[in-house]
Amino acid sequence: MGRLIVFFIFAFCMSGGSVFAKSCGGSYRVAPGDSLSLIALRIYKDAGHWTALHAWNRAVIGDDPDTILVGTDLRLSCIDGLPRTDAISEISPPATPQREPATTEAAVVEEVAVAQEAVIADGETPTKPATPATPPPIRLVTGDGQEPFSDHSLTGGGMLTEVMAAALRESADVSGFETFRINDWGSHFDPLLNDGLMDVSFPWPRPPCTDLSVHIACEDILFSDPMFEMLMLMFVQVSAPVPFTGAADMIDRRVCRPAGRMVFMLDEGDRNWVRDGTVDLVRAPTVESCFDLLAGGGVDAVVMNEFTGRLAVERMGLSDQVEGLANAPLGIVTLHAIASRQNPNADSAIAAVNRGLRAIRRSGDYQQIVDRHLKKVWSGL
Amino acid sequence: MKPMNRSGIIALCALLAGSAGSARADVSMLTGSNYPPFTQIDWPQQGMVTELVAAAMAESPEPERYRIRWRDDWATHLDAIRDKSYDMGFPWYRPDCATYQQDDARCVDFHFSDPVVELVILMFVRADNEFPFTQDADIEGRTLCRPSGYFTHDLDRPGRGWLTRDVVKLVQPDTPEACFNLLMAGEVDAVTVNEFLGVQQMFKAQLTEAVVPLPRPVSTQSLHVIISKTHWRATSLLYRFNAGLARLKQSEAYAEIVSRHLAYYWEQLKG
Repeated sequence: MGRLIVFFIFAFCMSGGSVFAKSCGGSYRVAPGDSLSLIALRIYKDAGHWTALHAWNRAVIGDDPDTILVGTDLRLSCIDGLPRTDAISEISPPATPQREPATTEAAVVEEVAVAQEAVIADGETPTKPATPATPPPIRLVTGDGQEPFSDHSLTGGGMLTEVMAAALRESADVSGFETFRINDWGSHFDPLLNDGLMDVSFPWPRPPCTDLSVHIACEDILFSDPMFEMLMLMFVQVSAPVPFTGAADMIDRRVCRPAGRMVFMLDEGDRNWVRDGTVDLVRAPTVESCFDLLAGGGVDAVVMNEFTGRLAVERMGLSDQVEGLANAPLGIVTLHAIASRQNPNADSAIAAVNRGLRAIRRSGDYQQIVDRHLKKVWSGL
Repeated sequence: MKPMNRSGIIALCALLAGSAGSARADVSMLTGSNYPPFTQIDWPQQGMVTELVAAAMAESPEPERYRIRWRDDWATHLDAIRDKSYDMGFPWYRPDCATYQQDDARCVDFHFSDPVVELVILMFVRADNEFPFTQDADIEGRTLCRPSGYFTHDLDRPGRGWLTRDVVKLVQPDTPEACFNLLMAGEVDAVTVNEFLGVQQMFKAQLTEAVVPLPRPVSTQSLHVIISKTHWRATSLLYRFNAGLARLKQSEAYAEIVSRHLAYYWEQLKG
C-alpha cells in the first residue's frame, strides 16, 4: 500500500520544476546548532530539501553537507513558493539553548512512503475514485546512535525504525508517512515537534508520569504505546566501579549522558542527582564519546540503556574495561514514539502509531522485526 | 444461580482483558503438571516452584499482573516460549551456558533467571549391588540409566566426559519407571535422576528396600524461569523476577515454602 521513493530525487525534481516568484528566495546565516536539514525544515517545511540547499551552496559549504560553519550565508533557492522574502525574519532559528553547538550533524533523509490508493466510497463505480481530503503525510523523525533501535547503518534503519514503518503502513486511514533522520536529538522535541515541523519522533523513554511537577515532559508530550522495554544501567570501569548503594556514593561523580537524550532517570525514585546537583552531569555529543570519556577517566559512569550501552562497549573493544551494573539498574524504561501537544496533528498521529502497533503485534510482523534485530544483538554480545 | 462452567469463566476473563484497552496484557507463565513436588496442578499451591515463582513475582519491583498457564506436554514448552505464545516458562534446568555449553540451543535462545531451587542428582543403585562412588573414575565401565529427554550435560561436564570419552554407557528409555525396571533386571548399574524423582519411584515401585541412593551426588542442578532472548521485554521481566526472588530469599518466606512442600512430599510418599 505504501509506495517508497527515494526522497532526494523527489527533492531535486521539485526544485528544478519550481517557478521563481519575485518575492521568493533570499539568504540565511548559519546559526549554532544548525544542520542543512534543520534549515531546510524551517525554511521549506521539509527537511528533504537539504539536498537542494547543498546543491545551491556547494561553493561555500564544500562537498560535505554535514559540515556547515556558523556564520556562513547560504543562498536560498525558491521551492514551491518558499521562502517568501517577507517571511525570512520569521524563520531565523528559535532560541534552543540546550542544543549542542554541532557542525557535524548528519542528516539523512530515509524514505517517503505515500499511500497512493484511492478510497472507493460505497455506491461509486471503481472507475470513478472518490477524492477524499487526504491528510498530509505523518512526518517521523529519528536519529543515529541508538543501536539497535535506530541507526542508519542498521538493517532497515534499526529495530524501531522498522517497527514504526511497519506500524504506519498498517494504519489504513493515514495518507502516508515520511521518515527523516536528524541526529541532533536535542532538536527533536523543540523545535521540530513543538513548531510542527515534524509530527512524531522516536525512540524516547517515558518518564514515570506520577509527579507532573517534576516531569514537564508528561504534560507537553504525547507518548505512544510502548514499543520496547529494557533496563537503564550505569556503565562503570571494571577497575574502578562506582560503589552504588546510595545517593552518598554519587556525590560529585561525573555522569555522562549523550546530548539531547532525556535525563529523568537520574532523578527517579529516591535519586535527585541532577535536581540537587549531586552529580556532575556531562553531556557528550554521542554515545561513543561518553564511553571514550569513561575509558579515559573523564567521567565515573555512563548512564545508558543496556542494549545501546553494551553494543557500544563491544564495538569499541572496551568489554574488558567497562561493565554495565545489571544487578542494580537505575530503572526499567519503555520506548515510545512521541508528539508535542502543541502540534494539532499530535493526537491523530499518535493514534495512528498505536493502531499500527496493535495491528503488527497481532499479525506477528512486530515480533519478526524484533526477533531479527535481537538475534543479531545477542549473537554479537 | 447456576455455577459458571470453565469455558464461561475463560470467556469472562477474555472480556475483562479486552476491556482493559491499551493496558498491557498480563504476563503469561507456562508450566506443566506431573512434576512433584515442583509443579503439579493438584498439589498444594500447585507445587513448590509454582508457589516460589508466585511469591517472587509478588515481591518484584514494579510488579506485573501475571497468569500461570498449564500445559502437560512438556515437549512443546520450549517452542511455545520461543515463539512468544507465552512470555515466560518454568521450571527449567540451565545448561552450563557460561562455559562449555554456550552453543546449546537453550543457552542461545533463552535467558535464565537466578536459581529458584537447587536439587541434587543422585545415583540410585540396587542394595545388593552397591558400589563405591567417591571419584568420577569409579563410574567408568558402568551402565547408567536416565530417561530420554532429560538433560545429560552433567554426565559430560569438563573433566568428567563420561559420554564423549565413551567410558560410560548411557541407556535412555522413555520413562523413569523403565529405568528402575532395567535396574532391577540387572541391565543397568544405576539410575541417575534427581533426588525427588528417584525416591518417588522407589516408593511407587515398592523398592524402598531393594534400591538405595549413593551418598555422593552426580551433580547439583538448579531450576529456573526462562524467557526468550528476543522477547520485547526479556531483560526487564527477568530483572523484575530476579529482584523479587532475591527479596524472597532474604525473607523467611522462602525457607518456609520449601520446607512445607518437602514435608508434604514425604507425607505423600509414606502415606
